[in-house]
Amino acid sequence: MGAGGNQIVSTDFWSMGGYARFVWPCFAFAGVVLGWNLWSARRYYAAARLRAERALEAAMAAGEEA
Amino acid sequence: MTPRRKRLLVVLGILGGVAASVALAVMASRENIMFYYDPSQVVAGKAPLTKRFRIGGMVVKGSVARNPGDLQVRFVLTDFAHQVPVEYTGVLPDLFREGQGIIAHGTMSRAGAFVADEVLAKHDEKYMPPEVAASLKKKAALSPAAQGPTT
Amino acid sequence: MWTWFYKLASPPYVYAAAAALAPWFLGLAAITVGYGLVDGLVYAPPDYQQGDAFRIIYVHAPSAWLSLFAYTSMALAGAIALVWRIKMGHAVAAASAPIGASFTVLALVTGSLWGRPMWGTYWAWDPRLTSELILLFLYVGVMSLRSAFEDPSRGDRAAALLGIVGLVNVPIIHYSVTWWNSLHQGATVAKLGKPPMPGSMLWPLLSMLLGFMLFYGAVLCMRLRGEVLNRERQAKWVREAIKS
Repeated sequence: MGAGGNQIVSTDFWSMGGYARFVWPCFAFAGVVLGWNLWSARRYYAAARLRAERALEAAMAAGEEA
Repeated sequence: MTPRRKRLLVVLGILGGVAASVALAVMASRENIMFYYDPSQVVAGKAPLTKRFRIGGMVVKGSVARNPGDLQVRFVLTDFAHQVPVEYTGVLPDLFREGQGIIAHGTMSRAGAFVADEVLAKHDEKYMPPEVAASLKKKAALSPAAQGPTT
Repeated sequence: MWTWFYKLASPPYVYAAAAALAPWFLGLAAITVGYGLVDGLVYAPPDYQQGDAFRIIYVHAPSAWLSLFAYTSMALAGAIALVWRIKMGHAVAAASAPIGASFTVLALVTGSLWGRPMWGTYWAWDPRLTSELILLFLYVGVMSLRSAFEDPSRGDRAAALLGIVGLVNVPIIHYSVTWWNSLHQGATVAKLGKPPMPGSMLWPLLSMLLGFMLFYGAVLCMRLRGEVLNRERQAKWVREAIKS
């Protein structure tokens, strides 16, 4: 189906019919944005968890002293 | 300065920054919208003669004439009521073709032609494979009125 | 009658639900985005006018759509938090803002890279482009306002208010292409009627739209867990949840 038409117009997949320098940066940047979202969300959670653990430790230490 | 006042200033600064950038952006686009004319308005003399403005319309089929040797192009813009000749020197966008909606930025010359320094092509929200377009075109050739404006 | 609602919005419930939902969202997002990428880049036919450059639609339209969706969710969550005093609303709003802002940037960048070869310019002060840029300013304003206060709950309320005020921009963005003479074309997939695109081009687009939404859901859940922990650090249930 579509693949046939695709090959007629763009013989080379990577050249994107001459628009490679516009098409590929778009998809590359989309990858960067998706990756950044995952990375920053994980980091945000890890930092929050660390802070909560520290707060717990501090509270337990204070509790033991009391 | 007390920390409280400092906070207040920071907050006001943020709100002011957002408001200022919004205002600047709105002003920039307002200018774009305000100085927009179609060929009928230009023919009626409503467009400014000395100021830069934008003109929008369709490129009349068969009107595009290129100068061999340089990048000068002449074509005629229409809104299906009136026509305005346009002159432009430069690289045209890939979507520029006869029958396409375009927006040109420039001034009127004394000779009554629009001298553009920027030509932007519009496209519509329809997408189709080349084969489908070709077969549609074949059908449209049988009834010339079928290919209407798309702006 | 509303007790179930409050229970649903209680921090421990949100924390657990977000943890349970995130991997599902992420897995389904991987499938739909993966299919959309392969079908959109390889199998969909090129456009009769724009050739292969039209494939930018497969990242541009979903990210633009998500930028509006995330903003609306953020503003509604903030409004719910203000009206019914549900703290988790602020947490959802805070988690939503950076995701939405990042996809607004993606929409602007991909639109610019699409506009250059097709329209002939990277940027125009066009109603659609300008209102989308204003959306980015609003995201930045909401995020900085939240962190500008010593008292986090005041920051939350201020951010929610700005978010609600900025909501007027959402219909402006959507209708900018019909209200003004815009360089930008109308929406491709807006009405329930026949979309102006054949199935071979449309299916990957719809799959990418769904995939980006699912991705938003996944990242929202992940961020929300951090947000809940930050806000409930002193609560007993957090200590129990962390001990295990």
